[in-house]
Amino acid sequence: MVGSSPTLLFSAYFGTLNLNEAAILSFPQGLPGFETEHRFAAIQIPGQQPLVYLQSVATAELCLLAFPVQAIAPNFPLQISSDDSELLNLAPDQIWPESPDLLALAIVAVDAEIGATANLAAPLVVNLRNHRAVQALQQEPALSYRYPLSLPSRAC
Amino acid sequence: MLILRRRVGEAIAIGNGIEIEILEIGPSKVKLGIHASADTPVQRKEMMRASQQNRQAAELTAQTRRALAENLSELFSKLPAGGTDKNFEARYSGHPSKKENLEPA
Repeated sequence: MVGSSPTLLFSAYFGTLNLNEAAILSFPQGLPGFETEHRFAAIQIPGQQPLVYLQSVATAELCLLAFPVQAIAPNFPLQISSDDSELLNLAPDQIWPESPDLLALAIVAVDAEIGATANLAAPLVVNLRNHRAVQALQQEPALSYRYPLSLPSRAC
Repeated sequence: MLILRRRVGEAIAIGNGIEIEILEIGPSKVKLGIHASADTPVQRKEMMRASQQNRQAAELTAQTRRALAENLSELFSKLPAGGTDKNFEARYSGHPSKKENLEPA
């Protein structure tokens, strides 16, 4: 349940964080690859919008970087399967992209050959009404797990 | 490939520590219960690619993440508001089924 009690968590990158429970996303099935991780704090840094850091509540060292898919593709063709919709407890009026309380985040990785990439094939879909999240696999074959991000200057 | 027929409530055992039980059979889906030790990774097969990608994403060092975040902020600040990344448009517009969705509103 979403409450207002603060959650104290330690991050290897941000130090000690005292976050409102509303900033915590819950992954009922854990995050793929990290199945025991069910809770991540969504952190935004002023000046770095629309980036979202996903800091594990349980593991100080686990922190992912993500951004809303609309940042690079305003008309992102998100599909949500009935299983995922059930896990998110989506209400009938929560329809992509009209609903303002649905968020789709692409996770950023750095590939040795391609450089910075975003996972558009499996975005994290967040129901902002209850803060539940799932990684929603897309059936669309044109969406890449490693979509190359053309960064402006310094290589990563 | 070994093929077995099972009913609801029946199970199969794999090796010594893994049991798969048929919990429910629907018109197009089966619900399975899997008993395995906590250190045995069990996941839907199609999630394997996502798992691999997530593990790679988690490997970033603090320094790389910081540089990456700065670069990404810069990238996003250069995109026109509500504009599509040219790269995405170029790759995606070739796909007839979704083309209309990607036209600017």
